[in-house]
Amino acid sequence: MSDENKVKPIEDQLATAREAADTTENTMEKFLDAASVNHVYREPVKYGDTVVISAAEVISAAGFGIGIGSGSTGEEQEGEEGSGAWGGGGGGGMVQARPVAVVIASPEGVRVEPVADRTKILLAAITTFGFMFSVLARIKKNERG
Amino acid sequence: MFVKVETRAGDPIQVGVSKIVPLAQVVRLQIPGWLGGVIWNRPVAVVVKSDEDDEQIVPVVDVTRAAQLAIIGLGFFITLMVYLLNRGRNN
Repeated sequence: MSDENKVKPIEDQLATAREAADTTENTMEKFLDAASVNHVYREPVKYGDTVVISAAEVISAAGFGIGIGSGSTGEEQEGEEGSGAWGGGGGGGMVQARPVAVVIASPEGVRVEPVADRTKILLAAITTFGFMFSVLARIKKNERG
Repeated sequence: MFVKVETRAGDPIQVGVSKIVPLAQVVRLQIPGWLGGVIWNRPVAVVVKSDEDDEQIVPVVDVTRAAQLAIIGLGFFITLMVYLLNRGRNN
């Protein structure tokens, strides 16, 4: 058996698995940082006497999973006990941001200008009318039947 | 902890004589023992503090969300009304 094919000692394998767990933990901490106000309100932009701050809704979702295991056969093979450890992990996530409003601060005062996303409003209207149409069509059909 | 809702204040921004404090609402959804979750972060208001200790709260209105909810709510209401009227007529 070559050195490459030799099974790593159980301690090494567990250490690798722990490293993977730490990486997941760090990623999780970074994900929780998404709850910061700085992600909602961006850096102020100065334009003459006026300061503009954009405000957005930020939705982030993430999921991770890790598994660590070890075992022993209890049988001795080539002078070594048949044992091993394994670990694996995976994860996924998404971040979605949508502009909500713009805060405009000028010498006259502070005002908030809303940002309307016409595409989202139109999509909601189309979906709702589609739902209404299908329900009303079913009612008409039942009336005839 | 399953759902946690909190309002957080950001760093104050000095604009002329006024100070603007941004406020955001954080909704955190996590299943205990699970790695991951959902974080919903949205602006709610800005607090404007003038040098005369005058404090004014300017709300941040999400018109897109309000319009979406109004359209969906109206659609459900109209459909329900038509359904109930139709059922009453048939009975």
